[in-house]
Formats: sequence, structure tokens, C-alpha cells
Amino acid sequence: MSADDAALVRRCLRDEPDAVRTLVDRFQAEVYGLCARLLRHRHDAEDVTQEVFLRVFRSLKRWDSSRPLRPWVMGIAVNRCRTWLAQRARRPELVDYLQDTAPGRAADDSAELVREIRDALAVLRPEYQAVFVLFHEQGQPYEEIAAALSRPVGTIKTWLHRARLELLEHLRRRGMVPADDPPAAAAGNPPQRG
Amino acid sequence: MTCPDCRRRLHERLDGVPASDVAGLDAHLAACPDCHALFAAVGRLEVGLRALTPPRPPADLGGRVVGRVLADRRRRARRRRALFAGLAVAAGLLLTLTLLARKSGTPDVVHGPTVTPPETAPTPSLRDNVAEATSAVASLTRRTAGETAEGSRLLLPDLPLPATDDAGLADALEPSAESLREAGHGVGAGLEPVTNSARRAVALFLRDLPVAAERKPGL
Repeated sequence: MSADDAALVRRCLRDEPDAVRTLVDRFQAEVYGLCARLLRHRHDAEDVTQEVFLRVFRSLKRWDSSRPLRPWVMGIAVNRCRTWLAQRARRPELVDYLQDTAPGRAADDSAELVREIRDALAVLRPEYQAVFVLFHEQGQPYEEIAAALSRPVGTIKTWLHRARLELLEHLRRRGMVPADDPPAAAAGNPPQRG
Repeated sequence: MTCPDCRRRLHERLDGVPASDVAGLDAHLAACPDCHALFAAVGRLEVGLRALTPPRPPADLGGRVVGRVLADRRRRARRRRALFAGLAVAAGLLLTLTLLARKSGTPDVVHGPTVTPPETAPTPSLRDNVAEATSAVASLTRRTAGETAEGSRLLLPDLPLPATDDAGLADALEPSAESLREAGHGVGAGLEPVTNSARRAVALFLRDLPVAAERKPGL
């Protein structure tokens, strides 16, 4: 993976348009997904995704080829989102919130559940949001998240645990957990991640 | 099993770690309403996470990103080239000026056993030029003062004179001539400080210049 990344980066540094395209294709879904979750605004997410890749390519020479590329890219994405959120906080509130994540055809109440999870995520601290999205939605391991956020793995675990407990509390408070619902005891299969 | 153990198992479950000691956990959940409710919420969270599809980027976003990145690279490359070209022109200009200055500063013919090294060669030509400029300014000022005074003196013969004899004329004009003479001297004296100031300023400037190489005798 790292050798592949290094070869791709070398090609990008030689200004090969195909390599630029490959690198963008490799990470754009994750970068956009994270931006969309953190910013909750489609157009902002697109703008920030473009900014992220501009910064990635401008600083590609500084990438340490002994480390994986994805956490480095995602770290830039997290930082850009943080900056964007800070700038947006000084502007009038936006109304075009992200609406493209509804499950749609679900026969049960999962659409409502998803909406509640999104709402609960939105009020978490940005670093909790980032960790939750990177782990549960994008399936990234703790080590990569720690590298992306430049924090120790222990800190990342702490943030993720707090994020989960806040989400669980939100679901309970919002009545999304029926009283007679049997607990998901450890007997079940572990959920699929990512 | 305790409540903290139960919490730890909860996170292990959400981490995807295979379950262990299921009987102990079930027993605790049956006895602890809080942990029972928490684990029930975990089940709902898992359902929601499975239904939570990641936001998909627009189909044309990749193309837009690539286009913007390539345009940015082209722009930066152009800027870099322009910067290098500017630096090259500046360096060339500097080199040319240095060579010209060195060439004009070198004596045409060098006699004698010793030759001053180029890097320590003074710049007599500049000093000479400044000295010439000094004398030019001084002479110009002096000439201006002189012409002004002379013009004042010349006014006298152009005046319409009464028809009298020479001695009478001289006597008649003496007061006017005297006043005009005084005015001429006054103008001259008034301009003299300007001349002196210019001379002093140039002398101060010359004092800061490197000492000119002593010319060989006969040059």
C-alpha cells in the first residue's frame, strides 16, 4: 500500500495528469464523505473537498513516504473542515443542510433512526464527529485515525467512546429505543464496520 | 461482571471484537436496568449505522477537482517561471553594471611594478565624477550670482539719462548707482551661503567614499 502510494505520489510530482486523476479518485469519496458529515452542507463539502486536494497536491513534496498516504490526506481534510467551520460560524446560518444520506427504501424505522443519528452527530464536538465518521462510516482503524488527527491512539479511543455514549444517550432520550427492546447482548455477531 | 466491565464490552462490541463470556454479560444485563437500556440502545445504533450510507460525492466532482488542481499547478509553474526570469534579468543587469563599473574604474594604462587587485580596486571614476559635479554646481552658483549682480549693474547705463555733462551726470547718478551696487553685492552675498552649503555637502559625501587609488606619477 505504502509502496503503491509512494509510486503514485512520484508520478504526481512528475505532473502526470493520469496520476493526479488516480489520486483524486482514490480518496475523493472519503474526503467528501467526511466533509459532508462534518459540514452538513453539500456545497460547502464540495468546496472544501476541492480545497483539500489543492492543499494535498501543493504539499505533496512534504509527504513522508514512510507513512501511509490516507491518514495524511484525511488529516488535511479534518483541518480544512475545522477551519471552514470556524469561518462559517462568523457568517449567517445556512439552511441548505445535507439531505442525501437518508436510506430511502427502508421498510422499518431506520430512516428516522438515521436522521436521529445524524442530528446527534451534528451536536458532537468536531473531533468526536471526525473520529466517529472515520471509524464507523469509513471503517478506518484507530492507528490511521490517530495519524490523521495527530493524536495518540488512546485519545482517539476516548473520543470515540464518548461520542458513542452521547449518541446512545441521544437515541434513548429521543425515544428511539423501545423499553421492551431486547438488549443487543454480546451473543450476536459483531456488526460490520464501514 | 460490573457496570464498567459492561461498558467495556459495549465498546468492544461496537469495535467489532468477537464476544466472550456471553453468559456473564447476559446475567449482568438481566440484573442492571441501566446497562440493559444501554445495550438496547447499542442495538438500535447498530441498525442505524448499517442504514447510514456515506454521502456520495457528485459525479462530476472528481473532474472538477482534477481540473482545478491542474490549473493551480499550471498557474504556480507560470509564476515560478516568471520569478526565475525576473531573477535572471536582475542578475544579468547587476552583472552588466558591475562589469561596466569595473571597466570604467580601471586605469587605461597601468605602469609600475604593482597592480592593485580588482576586488580592492577603488572607484576613482566615481570620485572624479562627484568632484566634477561639485565644481560644476559651485561654478554654476557662482556664475548665477555674478550674472545677477552684473545684471543689476547693467541697469544703470540703460536708464534714460538727463542731458547733463559727465561730471554732473556722475554726481546725479551716484546715489542710484550706489544703491544698485549695494543690491548687487547683496544678491551675491545672499547666494554665497548656497554655494558654500553645496560645497560642504559634496565634501561630506566625498569623505565617505573609499579613498581613491593613488595615481602613479605621470598619469
